[in-house]
Amino acid sequence: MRAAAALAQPAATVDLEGADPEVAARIEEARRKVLESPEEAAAWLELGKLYHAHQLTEAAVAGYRRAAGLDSDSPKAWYFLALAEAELGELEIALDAGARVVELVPGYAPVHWRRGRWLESLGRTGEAEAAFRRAVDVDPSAAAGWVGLASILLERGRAREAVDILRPVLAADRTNGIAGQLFGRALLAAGDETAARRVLGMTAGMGAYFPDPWHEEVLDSVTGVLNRLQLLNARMARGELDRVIRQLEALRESHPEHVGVLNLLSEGYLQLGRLDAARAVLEIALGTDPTDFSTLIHLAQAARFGGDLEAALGWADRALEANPRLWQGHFERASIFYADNRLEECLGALERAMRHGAHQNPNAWLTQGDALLRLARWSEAATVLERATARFPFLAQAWVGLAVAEVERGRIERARAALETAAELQPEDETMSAVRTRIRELERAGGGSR
Amino acid sequence: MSRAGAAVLLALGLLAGTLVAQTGERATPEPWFDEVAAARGLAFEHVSGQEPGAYLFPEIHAGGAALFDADSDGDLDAYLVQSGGLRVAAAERPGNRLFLNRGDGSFRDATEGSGADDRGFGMGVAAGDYDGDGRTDLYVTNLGPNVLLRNLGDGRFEDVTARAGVGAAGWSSSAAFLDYDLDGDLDLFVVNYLDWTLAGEVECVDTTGKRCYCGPATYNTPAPDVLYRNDGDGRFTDVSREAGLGVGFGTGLGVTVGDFDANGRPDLFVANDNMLDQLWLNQSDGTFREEAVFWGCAADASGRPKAGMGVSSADVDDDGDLDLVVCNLGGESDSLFLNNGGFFVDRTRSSGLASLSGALTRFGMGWLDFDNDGMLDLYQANGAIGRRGRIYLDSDPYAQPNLLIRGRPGPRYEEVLPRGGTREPLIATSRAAAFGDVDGDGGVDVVVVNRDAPAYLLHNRAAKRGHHLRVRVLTDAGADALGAVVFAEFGGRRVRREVLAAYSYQAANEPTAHFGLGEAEGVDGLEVRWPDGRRRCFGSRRAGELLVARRSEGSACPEG
Repeated sequence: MRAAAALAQPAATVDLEGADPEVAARIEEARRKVLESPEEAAAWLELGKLYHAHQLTEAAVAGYRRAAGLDSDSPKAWYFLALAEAELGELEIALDAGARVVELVPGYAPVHWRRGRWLESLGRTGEAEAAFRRAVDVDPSAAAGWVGLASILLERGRAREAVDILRPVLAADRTNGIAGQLFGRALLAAGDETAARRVLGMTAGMGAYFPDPWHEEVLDSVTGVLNRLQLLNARMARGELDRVIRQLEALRESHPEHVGVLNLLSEGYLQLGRLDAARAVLEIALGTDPTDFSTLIHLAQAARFGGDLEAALGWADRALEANPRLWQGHFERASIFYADNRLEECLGALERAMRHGAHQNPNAWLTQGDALLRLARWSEAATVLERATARFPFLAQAWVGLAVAEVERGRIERARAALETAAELQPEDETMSAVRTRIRELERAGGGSR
Repeated sequence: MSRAGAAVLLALGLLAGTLVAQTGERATPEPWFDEVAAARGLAFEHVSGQEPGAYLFPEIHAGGAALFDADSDGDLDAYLVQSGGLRVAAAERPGNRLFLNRGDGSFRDATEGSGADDRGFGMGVAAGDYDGDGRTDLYVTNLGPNVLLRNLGDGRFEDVTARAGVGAAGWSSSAAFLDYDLDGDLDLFVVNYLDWTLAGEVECVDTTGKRCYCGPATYNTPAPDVLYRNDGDGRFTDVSREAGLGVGFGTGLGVTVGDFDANGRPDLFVANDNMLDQLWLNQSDGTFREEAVFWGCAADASGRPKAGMGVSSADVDDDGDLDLVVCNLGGESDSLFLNNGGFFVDRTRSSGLASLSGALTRFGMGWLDFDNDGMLDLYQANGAIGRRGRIYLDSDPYAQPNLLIRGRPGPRYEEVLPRGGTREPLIATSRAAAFGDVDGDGGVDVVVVNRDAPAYLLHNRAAKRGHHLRVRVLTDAGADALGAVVFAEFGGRRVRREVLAAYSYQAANEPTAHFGLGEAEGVDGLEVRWPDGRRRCFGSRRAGELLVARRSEGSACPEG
């Protein structure tokens, strides 16, 4: 049905029917508090954060506005209001609210770089540059400020200056995908295509985390076990392992048999090498859902890491029975075969994994290439590893493997080129030294081809 | 009042009344479009077949639209792709509809007996003359086997899928006809989304714990796209693997075709949902190489993948090469990539596009000159996937207003009001948008398919429209020469426009090259470059003309 003009006004009510009871209860409790104390800014702020954390952004804005109206010196009320308005696309309002934060707490760097981003989005690049500069003035470690500044410079065609700004940012954190992508683009604009390709390949799709403790406070308001898991999963992905495990253990107390909680906890334990702890929680998960794919895969990994390959294979097979379409199951089998030196079976499992999407995973390529090398199938190994390097140019091991394959085929120049690329990506290791030795031997013998 | 004080009050909304009082009455801008679907006979209501509470993922992605000349009478007909329920038997689905243009921009439903009423769970459609008989054929993408409909003339079609060998099952979204090997016939590229089955559907909840549609990452089953080579005898061969596309798994939704690296061969850009987008560069030897990351168009400047939906390409800055715009999910801005000859520069923020687009979820999209001022504008067809953000319509939580965005030199972008370019905002869950001049009046019109709602036909009525020139480039057989390029010289500019049907989302568009001329009374020179690189020049032309360019006509172009 066509909308009438009246409907252009967005509805602002929050309907909690059908919501997670835990979420609904928390929101109802916060609502009750503002009804009991409608003049209390802190209560409105908490309600706003709760809405915000659950992506009920319009309702969050209303809460924050009341909080800021009742206490116009509350920097967090203004800051959260700015964040929520920006999420709704209201950048001018976000900027005004952010300006109030700057007045109240000029030393909080995130408000400066966020204002810089909003200003840049509005095409006000001069003001954006000033905001980014202020961010790095108040906190020289604020990578987001440097990245914003470099972005403005790149926009103005000052690629070399952008390169100079970004180089130390990336050196301080090689996992900063945002800085890496911008650095790569700046190198392209500066004409350094070779270096650009490498950086762009290395940091593609990585993203980055720019610390903003106040924003984390909003995120921490999230309730409901699935929301908590999502939050903790993201934090685990950026390496906050100890903190996340503590939070997961606390979450487990209220949800002792929740498979998602147990799976993520086991993942953390596996990353820390605490295999027994991982197995213990996975056994509980298995009791709740004997066909849960993630549980079965984690059990396979725990067994493989512990050297019990037979048990690992059993778990992996069960995972595949549960869902044969997920590449992780096939890849786990391949990893077990690889560890057991059953290389032909490993290659077969990898082929199935690739068919189901394992191409996204560099380890799948590396395992395939390495299995072929171990089988002395040099030509096939070279083909696979060449494709791996095209797809993941940052993968030093793939370049080393390619050098090995090429040298064994007697293709010295190709081997040398692959080795040089690997040397740019990682320090010299034993394999690389061995390839160099082999190249020299071939050269002395006058063998090989170019 | 201090600035800080004003800021406080502004954010609280306390100054709103004052502002209105100070600015007085504002003249309501004249809309650029009238919504005339019902009045002009384009009676189509998409049926997703959504099952309450089931949240089956494909329901929220369909349906498609084509504007093409079905009966070879020189005007644009419409083909609208229907869905109709995932658990409904094919025979019971409503089927796709064919609407023939009466010649004045009004339509009659000519589906009955046309053979075009495919009843798969439809997604999108591509249009092109694959068999070189001068008639435009259709390729319909479905959840399930896709369908190739050979145009028999007079608005009749024959299902030749089995004979042609292009009926791969799966979940296809958009598709494109292109002559990637320049052998003179059209090949076919099909964008696939996910390896999804009804049995494997997953239950997802939103942040409040309510059931909702999942995202593609939940399934983690991105599907490889498919390239079919036209064998020239009515059959196609799947050459994805040997062409190098076999490793290219992605959650593909949108596609466009163009020679981005200026090597004389058509390349492909695929917009992926929540994965890096792909730029398949044609290597001139039958293979493609994926270069999006290295060209800086796999993601925005942050390097984070976005939820790519629709895509459009054009030379927006008159520098002779093809630029890109990709639209994305709510919370993410569009991505504007300007081609810098070997790599793209992300100009989303500085162009103003970032601040315009981020609050809505955009699907169909076209980069066209709606007001004929010589600058390419953007139309975006919007509709959410989830319930986060602003709710515009109580009866449809996914419905959102569409956007009309005016292009300015730079390029810079600003929203055209009233919102969406219509007198009253049209609010629905819009998906495909197909673009073309359905009444031949020189203004680009838009057909929008809306999920579980009537389609729009947006008639261009922009009051201050400039002059225009349209160029229809034909093959020797008399079909649209997809992949040709037209250059027009006017006002000191050399403007490039493509003969391109595949852009937007799940759509096939009028491939006529449309030039907005602004105040220019005509063009000083016109050059047409056919896909095989051969050129013909057509001299100066007067504004308002529809030039039909054939290779046998025109004159030799000067060297250089």
